[in-house]
Amino acid sequence: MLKKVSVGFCTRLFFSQNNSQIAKTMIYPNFRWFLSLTIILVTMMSFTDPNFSQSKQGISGTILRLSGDQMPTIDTTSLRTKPEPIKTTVWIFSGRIPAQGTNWSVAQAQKHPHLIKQISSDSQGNFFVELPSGEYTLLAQYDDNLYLNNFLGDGSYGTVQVTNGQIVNIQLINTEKAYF
Amino acid sequence: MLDQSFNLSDSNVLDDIFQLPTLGVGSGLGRSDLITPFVRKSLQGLDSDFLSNSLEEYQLELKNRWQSSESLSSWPQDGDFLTGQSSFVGLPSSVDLAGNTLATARAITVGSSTTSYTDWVGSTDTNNYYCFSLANSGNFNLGLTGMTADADVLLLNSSGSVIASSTNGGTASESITSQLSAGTYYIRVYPYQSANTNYNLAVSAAPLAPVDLAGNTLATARAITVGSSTTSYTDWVGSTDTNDYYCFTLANSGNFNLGLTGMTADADVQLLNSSGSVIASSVRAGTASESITSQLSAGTYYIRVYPYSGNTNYNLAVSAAPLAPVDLAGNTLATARAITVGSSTTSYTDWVGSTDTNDYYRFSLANSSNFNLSLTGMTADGDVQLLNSGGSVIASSTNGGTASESITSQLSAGTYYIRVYPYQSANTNYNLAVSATSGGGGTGFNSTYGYGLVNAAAAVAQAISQPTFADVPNLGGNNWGNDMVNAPEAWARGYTGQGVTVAVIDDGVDILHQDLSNNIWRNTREIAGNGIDDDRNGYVDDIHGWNFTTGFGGNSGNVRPESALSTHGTHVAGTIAASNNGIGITGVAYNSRIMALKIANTDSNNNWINTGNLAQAIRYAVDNGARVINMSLRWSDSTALRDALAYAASRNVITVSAAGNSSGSSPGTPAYYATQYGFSVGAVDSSRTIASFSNRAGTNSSMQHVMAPGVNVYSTVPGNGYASYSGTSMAAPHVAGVVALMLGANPNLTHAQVRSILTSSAVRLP
Repeated sequence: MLKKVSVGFCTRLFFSQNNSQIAKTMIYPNFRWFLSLTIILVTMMSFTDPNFSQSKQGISGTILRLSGDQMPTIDTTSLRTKPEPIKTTVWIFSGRIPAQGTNWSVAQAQKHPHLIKQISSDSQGNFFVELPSGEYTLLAQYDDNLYLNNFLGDGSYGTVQVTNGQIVNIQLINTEKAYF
Repeated sequence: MLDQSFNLSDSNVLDDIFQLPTLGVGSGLGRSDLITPFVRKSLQGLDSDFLSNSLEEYQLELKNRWQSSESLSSWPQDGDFLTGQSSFVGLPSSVDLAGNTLATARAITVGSSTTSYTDWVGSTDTNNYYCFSLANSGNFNLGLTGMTADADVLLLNSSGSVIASSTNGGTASESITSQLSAGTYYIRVYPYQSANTNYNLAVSAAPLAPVDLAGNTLATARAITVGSSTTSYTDWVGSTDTNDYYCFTLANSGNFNLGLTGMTADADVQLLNSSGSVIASSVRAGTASESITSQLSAGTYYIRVYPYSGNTNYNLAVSAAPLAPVDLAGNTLATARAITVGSSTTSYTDWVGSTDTNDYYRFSLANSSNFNLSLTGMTADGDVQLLNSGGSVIASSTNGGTASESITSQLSAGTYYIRVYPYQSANTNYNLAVSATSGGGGTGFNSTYGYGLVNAAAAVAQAISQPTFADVPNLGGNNWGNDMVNAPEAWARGYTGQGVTVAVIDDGVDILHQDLSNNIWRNTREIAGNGIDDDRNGYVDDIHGWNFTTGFGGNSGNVRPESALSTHGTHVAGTIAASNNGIGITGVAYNSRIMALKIANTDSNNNWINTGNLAQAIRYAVDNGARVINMSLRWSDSTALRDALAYAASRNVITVSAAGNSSGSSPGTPAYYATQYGFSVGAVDSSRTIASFSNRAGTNSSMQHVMAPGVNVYSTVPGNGYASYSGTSMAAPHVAGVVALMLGANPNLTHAQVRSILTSSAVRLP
């Protein structure tokens, strides 16, 4: 997809997601070095930051894990353990999936006909996936299981709705070893 | 002059004599009445002078008609010319300017100046109705005078119901005085039995003059005397005088009585201590009288009278009869009063003070039992001890001030003593309530599981003095927690927590969740969104609870969680009261109501921030109708927190606190106050084994510590979602729900009774 970048009064540059094509218009010679530097920096960003969304819509999320005593407290001597960001694989399914409990084995999940794709979260637990409009189920992988502790009233796993032009932000939090 | 041989028997002659012209409208008499003189034909023995006068006037052709009729009217009804029955002369008759029904009532003006109306009632006109309206409240006065026979008068409201009446006998005047609010009223004048009479009706209504003799603040309170004889004070409250304060001092303890009467709009009354805190209040609706009765110790007090709606005068009557010291209990161990302590609570009222510093009671237990004692109704600081047969103290309760005391202890068979005594120079009555329930199977209290797993089938049954409810099939699946506490057994008997409000003090509740929205408490005395503290509880628009957090969005009626990590309170609420609607889950007390009290926000590190005042939240719950308070949290200890817990207990509000998740040997704060107030709750898993993280009960058997499901508990989370969480936070709402089931079955249970029943009916573990 193209992202339009407006620079200065007289110049517009168009970038493709993979930098495959650059269209030039009239460029005043005294701006050339500055524009070249900008092109390089923007291209680097597009490849290194998954959240630098050149897309129109999808799901942006963070994988976290809570553990230990998470009982609400104002006792300053025992602040709760911070959420731990998790670098793992995020499995994305279309539509609703009847829940198998909080843990669903990878062996079973990989056979499910609604499996669309898998992406990875980074060391901060962040991920982004571009998706068409629709309802999706996302689970995070922990060893041989996929984990999701969020459900709908009909017993399905919790889902995410993607709508036109919108990026939905979610958190997938593992509370298996947390005590509230 | 007539010939004295005039033949009086000729009625035609009499007619000729006495038929005078009718005086019509516009005769200049000041009335529009028609006056037709009339003489009954039963005359006998007419006086010649009478006849002569009559004939002269007739012959003069009545040049002055009014004078003629007046002279006739002035003739006596008895005397030498009128013999015979029911004779009268010169009376205006058939005068009927007033309507004969409510619908045809004559419209009259009633103002500050007296207006008068003359009419007649009798056998042919048995009702005269008048109708008037007042634009403002006023002191209405009516006088009915000038009667020659017995007539009476009624004052009616717009519906025709009698407000006041005057029914004096004979020709005595009638009168009615009444304070009336703005509106429409009727007056009915009517004859007594077969009386016929003219009357003059005079009416007026002087606008109420607001009286303000009482002070409008505590500092300017009117000093009044309150003694054994009743003293009364009349004043006014309304839109321009919203507070009337009175101040009085008692030299000795007394039984204080207050009555607020004579109101024409809704006003209420409070009794305050010397610091201005409310001791008691009376807030009946409409113009109903208010009353307060309370035992007060010596000291200074205030009375506050205030309007709820409208403007009204009132009469305040107060008295305080000195307490009569009672001493039925023995003053030494040897003379201790023998009492019975059984499964049903027995109560004893007595007094301790400067002249009676020890009250001893003695009782025996045949079996090992869960003993429970409460000391309540004090107006000064009294304390209590439980002693063994040798007089050594086993347990004690020594709360400050007038706070109730309580002792719960597992006792083996044997003889024991109770000692009640005043703290320092206190003088006070007290009520001592005791019970002892056989410990049942197992070893009773233990330091790990406390009294064991809560059992709704037994607890709710005991609450209504019935045998344990029969077992019903488990629901299974995500309802395993309900199954484990035997909630379905109570549901099968119709006990679902109906009518019970459970406060959840937490990080907010998603009150729009599909499984909670129908079970959220609604403050019916508050109008949503009008920015007015309609119920005057100190909180504006507190529709579903209150947000006690500090910072942006806090101190408001917005009780919903504000961040993705704020799921805790919604999860707790669902365990208590999620609807039984076939969606998601069902709460333990699925017909109870959740009062959402938001005490904190959650930051990105899952820590609670912007925390509010927990003691204040507890008091709000108590003051606004909650019977159970769930606290799945850990808090710093303080005197204010302890006092708030004591306050809740004194109002028979049951606090349920999570024991904590640090695998400790005893509960954390506030759960550890369960030695005196409410419950501490530990967590078990689906096999009834204590969760590794759960704090234990500890070694003090006074700790009312019980167990409930707390591992992988499925419940509601914001956004119509559900999740499985573990923790004593999940166990506590199961117990809160069971308590709600008990109170739904028997709302009269006291704090002590709930504690005793729940612990004695629990299933001993392991």
